[in-house]
Amino acid sequence: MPYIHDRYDALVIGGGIAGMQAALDLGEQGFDVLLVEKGPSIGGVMVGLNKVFPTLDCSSCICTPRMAESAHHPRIRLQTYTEVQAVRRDGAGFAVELLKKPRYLDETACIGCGECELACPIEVPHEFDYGLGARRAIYIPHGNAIPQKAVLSVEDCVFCGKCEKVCPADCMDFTQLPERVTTMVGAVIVATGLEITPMDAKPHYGRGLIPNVMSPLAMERIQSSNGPYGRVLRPADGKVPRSIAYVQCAGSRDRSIGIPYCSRVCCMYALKQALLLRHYIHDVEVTLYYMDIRAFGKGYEQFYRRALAEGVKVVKGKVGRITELENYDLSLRVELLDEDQRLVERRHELVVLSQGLIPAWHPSAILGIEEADDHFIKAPDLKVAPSVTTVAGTFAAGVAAGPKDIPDAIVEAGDAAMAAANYLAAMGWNGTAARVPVPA
Amino acid sequence: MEYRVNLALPAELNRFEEAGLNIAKCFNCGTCTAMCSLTEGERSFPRRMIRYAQLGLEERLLESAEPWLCYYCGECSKTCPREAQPGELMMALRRWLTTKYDFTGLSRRLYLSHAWEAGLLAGVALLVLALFLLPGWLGVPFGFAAITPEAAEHVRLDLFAPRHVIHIADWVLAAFLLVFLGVNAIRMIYYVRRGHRDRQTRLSDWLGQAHQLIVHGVTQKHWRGCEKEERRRWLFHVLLVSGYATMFLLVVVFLGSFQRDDADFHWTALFGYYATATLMGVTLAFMRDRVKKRAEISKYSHVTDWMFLVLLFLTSLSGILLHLARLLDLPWPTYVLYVVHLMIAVPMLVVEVPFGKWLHLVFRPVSEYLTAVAHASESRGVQKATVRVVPATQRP
Amino acid sequence: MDEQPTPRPQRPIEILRARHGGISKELKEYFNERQRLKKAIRAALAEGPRSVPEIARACGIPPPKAMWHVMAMRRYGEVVEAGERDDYVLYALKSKGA
Ligand SMILES: Cc1cc2nc3c(=O)[nH]c(=O)nc-3n(C[C@H](O)[C@H](O)[C@H](O)COP(=O)(O)OP(=O)(O)OC[C@H]3O[C@@H](n4cnc5c(N)ncnc54)[C@H](O)[C@@H]3O)c2cc1C
Ligand code: SF4
Ligand code: SF4
Repeated sequence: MPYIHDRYDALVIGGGIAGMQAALDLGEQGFDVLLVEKGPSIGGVMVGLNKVFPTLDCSSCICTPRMAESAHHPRIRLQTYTEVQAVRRDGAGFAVELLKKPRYLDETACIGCGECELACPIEVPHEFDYGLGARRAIYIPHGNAIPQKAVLSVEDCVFCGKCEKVCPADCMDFTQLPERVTTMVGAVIVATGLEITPMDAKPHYGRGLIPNVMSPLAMERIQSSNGPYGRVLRPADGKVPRSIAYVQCAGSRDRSIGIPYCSRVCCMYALKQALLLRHYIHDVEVTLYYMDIRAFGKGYEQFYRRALAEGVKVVKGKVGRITELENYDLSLRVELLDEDQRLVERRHELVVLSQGLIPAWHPSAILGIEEADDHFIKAPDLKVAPSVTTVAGTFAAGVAAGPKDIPDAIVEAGDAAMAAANYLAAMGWNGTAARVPVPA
Repeated sequence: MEYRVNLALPAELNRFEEAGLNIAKCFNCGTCTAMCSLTEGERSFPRRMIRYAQLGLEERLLESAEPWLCYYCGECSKTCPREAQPGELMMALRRWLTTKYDFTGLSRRLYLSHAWEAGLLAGVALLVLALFLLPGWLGVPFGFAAITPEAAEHVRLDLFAPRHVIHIADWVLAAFLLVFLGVNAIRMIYYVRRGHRDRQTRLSDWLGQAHQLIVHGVTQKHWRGCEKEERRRWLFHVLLVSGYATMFLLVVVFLGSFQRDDADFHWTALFGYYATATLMGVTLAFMRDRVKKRAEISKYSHVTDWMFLVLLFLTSLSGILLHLARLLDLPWPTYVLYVVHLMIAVPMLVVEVPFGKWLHLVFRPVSEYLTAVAHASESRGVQKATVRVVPATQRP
Repeated sequence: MDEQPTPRPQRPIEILRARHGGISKELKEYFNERQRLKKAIRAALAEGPRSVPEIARACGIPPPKAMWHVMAMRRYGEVVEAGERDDYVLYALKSKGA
């Protein structure tokens, strides 16, 4: 079992693209970093995406090298399946209390062969596929997961013991209990990322109960080559959808659901998914219903033009209601603002709600960091120090600090790492030379 | 077509609402229109109305019948991403339009000034009182001057307020209302048609759809197209209309049998009971809604909304008390209540009906009628050059 | 990295079962239904390749449910794609095709 030392230069909370980048930037500068991820694998949202705008690079192909680097970097201690329980200021640094959740197997011994998963008799909805695909009670998080180690979800376990019988490394350990570990760190970077607006936020969009009204993250999975269906099908009945609608601003810029801000990525990911759908399904009609298209980044406007050129349709008007029809098609009620302002009901076979981004974690209770009005971490000096929070020695990066895309998350992570390094130097933090291992 | 832009229009409309409406908040997304169960096809609202208001297109608003197609279920306000209260704007527009259709200018005064409203109501009430007091001084046996010793002993309404005299007054009143309601309706039709000059209609469309006026006037049935929770308000409103219509008929047409001059019970009273019960019950329920701010529509109450309910309630209350006093053969209370009843009912009929919120009883069915006429002309397949703006992105 | 193998206790699954108070009622029901549906789907596919709505009809369950269960079987290699018909993918049992 690996050791966690009693002292690190920095704690990075969240192993998404921002957290990994911040950890790598600090590690490269010679700081020792503890990278804590609550899930069984690092990679965050990005590793589950299909391709990324505007380059259309395969997302996991450019994400996994970062993940491997973070996991194997000599100065980064990766701690997955672990949550931060408490952070207390202590002298020049912070005392951190972690809770390691049991995987019910010896992580160092597991060779990631997946025999246990094949032997396990129960299938349940897989979080990585947003419920569309299946996993078993014991499972390897996904093909690109790092670490490639199994994890047993005890809530789904039927206690048959087959996994233990088949494991060639003989690593199952059903006696594991949650473990508390404490350590000291000099600085903290919060990179806990995003969740999307709940699917039931707007009651008139089906309350999340209509199978063919999908979340955009589920659509990313469906489009991925290792996705739940292996191709693009609609969830209600497995039909190849011939007409697909995107409802823009479905979970953003809407005071009635308490999310008044623009989430900045939904226009672009919708265009990306729409464009790819045109590639994946012959003759498919894809329509974006939008208020305005916000293609603000480098190469984004060109991407928008390209999507139009490749046959993606855009219609100005915000969808009011979505109704499910008998054959699982959907009817969308919308005022056509660009076409003599008629009110129409438009029929589509599949609908994707372009949900907004909300923070995945609220660190105020544990770290005392203030939230801004939009509930993302507040940067009191937003213009000149975007990653500096209200508590000295804590920094924020990625979507935890506000909605942004991957390039911006990476830039901000670099900024947070640099700010943390400067802070450690200014505090005269005496490095981690004196550290001793504590049994984890 | 040229339109003058009235930059002061948003501020002007703000004078007609109580919700602190901020028209500039709307970013024209169209959610409200798509949420509205009553909007259909090209007759889309409320977003278009808000847009006109934002741009100061006063004439365009004047030419729109849409505000009267809205029953204020409030779904638009609940779901508006900008909390711009489109439902309240529609309400403000109905008040504003009422003042615009009215050629006397009185309606505007009543809506914008409490003093005018109170003054006019009080003035008419005093006039009514005077009608029962003055004849005595002039030696005419009417009103309090006509109370003979016999009439002081037992109820003799026919001496106090002879039926044929009151009946004539009723007819005069009805004629007065008919003229004003009619002129208002004609002005509304004129404006709305002016806004749709390009659409051809035929006389047969107008005649063929005339029944819509009655149907919608009586049932307001499109209201039922709203969300389910609206059914209760719709039902209450139908009851109110039925009670009001019953009472109106009893007084204006059947006064001969409705106003009894003795303490006997007469079958016409049964209709009176029905009308009183519905009028009092429904007005009480609506007042309770407004106090509790129960639905979107009851959240913001203009004085005229209160006036509407209070006057109706008091009219019914004084009416039923008058009835009781007569049945109990209490002459003086009967006479006094008779006057009080008229001092409430007549100002309501003379001031509020032709110049106030009551006018919606004409404008709503007329707007439905206009919509039906337009539908009929379109379904006949009139060759209408449809100009469709094709967005640049959709050109081949 | 600082990894030191520690002696690993070997205990049976029963410890885990006891700690978690056995299988919850909901999970048991879910598991039984899942087993039943797997069997029903296998039976439906034994007659030849079927689309999801056809499988749903054969098993007497709504198509969204059938979709999930068929896809779960596909994920673990029990079911494979076997052509397309009218915008629907046909699925077959793996043993048949292989
Ligand atoms: C549908 C969709 C498509 C997108 N497509 C693109 C695209 O094509 N191109 C692009 O540039 N951007 C895209 N984005 C945006 C992109 O996903 C984000 O910018 C990026 O993932 C942000 O990275 P992050 O590290 O800040 O957050 P995340 O990726 O969310 O990572 C946060 C990590 O922190 C962990 N965590 C959360 N809370 C805790 C806690 N309390 N303790 C420990 N760990 C915790 C999470 O498990 C997660 O691993 C898309 C977004 C969506 C929703
Ligand atoms: S013991 Fe649990 S995890 Fe292991 S095979 Fe059985 S059900 Fe799966
Ligand atoms: S009033 Fe609200 S819902 Fe209607 S168009 Fe304006 S912002 Fe959208």
